[in-house]
Amino acid sequence: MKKRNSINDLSEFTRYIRGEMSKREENAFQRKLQKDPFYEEAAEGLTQISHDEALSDLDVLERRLNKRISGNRRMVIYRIAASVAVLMIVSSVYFILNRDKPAREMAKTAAAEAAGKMDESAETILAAGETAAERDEVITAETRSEEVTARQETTVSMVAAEPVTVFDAEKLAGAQAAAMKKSVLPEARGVIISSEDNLPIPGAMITLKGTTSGAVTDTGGRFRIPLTDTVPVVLVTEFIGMEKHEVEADISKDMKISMIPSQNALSEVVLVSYDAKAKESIDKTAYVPAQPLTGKNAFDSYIEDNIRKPTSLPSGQRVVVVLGFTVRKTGAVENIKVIRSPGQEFSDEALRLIREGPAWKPAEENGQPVDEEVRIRIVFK
Amino acid sequence: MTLWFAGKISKSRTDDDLINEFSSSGNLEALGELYSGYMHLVYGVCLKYLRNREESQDAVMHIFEKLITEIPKQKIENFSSWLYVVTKNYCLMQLRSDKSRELKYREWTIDPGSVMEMSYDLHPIDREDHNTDEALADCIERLKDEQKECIRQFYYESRSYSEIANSLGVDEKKVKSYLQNGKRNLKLCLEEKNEKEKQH
Repeated sequence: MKKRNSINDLSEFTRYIRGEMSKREENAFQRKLQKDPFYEEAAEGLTQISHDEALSDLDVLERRLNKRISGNRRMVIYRIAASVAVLMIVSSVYFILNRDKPAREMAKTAAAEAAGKMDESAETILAAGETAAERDEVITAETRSEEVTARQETTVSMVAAEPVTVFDAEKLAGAQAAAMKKSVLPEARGVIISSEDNLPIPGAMITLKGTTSGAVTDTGGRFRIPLTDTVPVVLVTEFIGMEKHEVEADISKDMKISMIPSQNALSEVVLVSYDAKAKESIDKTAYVPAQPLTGKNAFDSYIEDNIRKPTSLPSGQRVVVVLGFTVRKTGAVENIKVIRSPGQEFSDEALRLIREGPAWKPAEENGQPVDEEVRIRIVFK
Repeated sequence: MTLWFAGKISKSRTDDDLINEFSSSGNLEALGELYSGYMHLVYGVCLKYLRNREESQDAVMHIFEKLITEIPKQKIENFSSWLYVVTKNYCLMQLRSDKSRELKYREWTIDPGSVMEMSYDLHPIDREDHNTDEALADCIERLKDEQKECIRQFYYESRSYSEIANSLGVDEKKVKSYLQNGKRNLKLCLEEKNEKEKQH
């Protein structure tokens, strides 16, 4: 039977998709496609996305496959160890924060806060933690989509006898992360761009999958995000009008994350909100940018349904108005100003849409509402 | 250096070796090595049908799980074509199970080109020695002009889709469909000839 030559095969594919082949080579490759429908259809599929996307996707797949193969056994041990370690750190943070009280008393408080009604000694919690972690592992093995779980989440599922306690545990983990200082944590950094035009996307949200830790890209679309764990961590990027995207964090280089415009989203409107003080907020653990109260999709539909295209817009043309405004922590929208506009008519319409539009939910930092500068692009076409 | 060498050796194992190793020992690494050589093809096919990167990536992983359970149960002669059928069926089932995309499913399954056969024969013109086949040359002469022209340029002058598209002033999709239809007609013509010979 034929030899396996996937490596050559893939580079052939890549060169074909990139259009790097001579016409003769192209013909030879196309003849191969004609021979084998497997190749033919694969080529059809792969040419639907850019070759960079194809290569990075295959890279992700290769890693997922390796992870699937290289046994879950090691993971179990790792997870238990990590869970125990986190729990100990969580308790110690409490000791530090409440140094004046007797340590033994504090152990109880920490345990009680973390585990809700479990008013018992720290040792008991540790034991319970281990069994819970094992249970957690079984579930994870079954639903492999949850491949990477950051440490907080492990802590949560471990100590959380009841869902009510989840929030406490998360806060503790947050405090722990802050106490550890960013210097000891690996950090992912890079830029998020739109696959449509390769331009940076400001205000895109990045979270560590399975946690509430996140960051927001600055005006240049750049981000820095401390990782809470050293195992492969999945970054989730989200932005209005774009498909939610997941990618494995790579701390070895400056990452370039390309987001695809959402198929379902209405193409008329792209909403960009970004935090003017993004730089300061990057290192904070939980940050949620301001957004329309009705949700992003409903806001898109609102614009879609209500936008009045000025008659001066030639058909087929596309113009953009950029507006800036402040969403106060009360939710009030203030200081609406035109940052860029092709003309008065467009500015007026864009301003009207925001003034008459849905109310806004203020940005939140560690659960507290804060003022935020928001920028919006309204596209007329 | 050693690493490179080790890689070299493992790459030269055939599909059959790896399938046998997996079937007899359940060694996932063997199956993984086998699968990783086809992953780009599987992913490409998934993209074609599902039209979504994330979903296609999940599909590639699900198909791997399928292989783990299916391979030991089956006698596989040609892994590549078997995997192709498994992949395609998986994607079509995904489409069918989703109400909003059921239409797409019907579209794919009505098209005769997407009928799922467990094996497919190599078309005579895709064989290496097609140049010497007189019956084939005769059948090509009987094709409609556009089909004849495409077949001639593609198979006898080694020109690519884009070159042919340029010379005929049509787009590449059209070239592909001329080729496909031309080949189907050729096959019919050749079968007819064979029938006649048998009767003589």
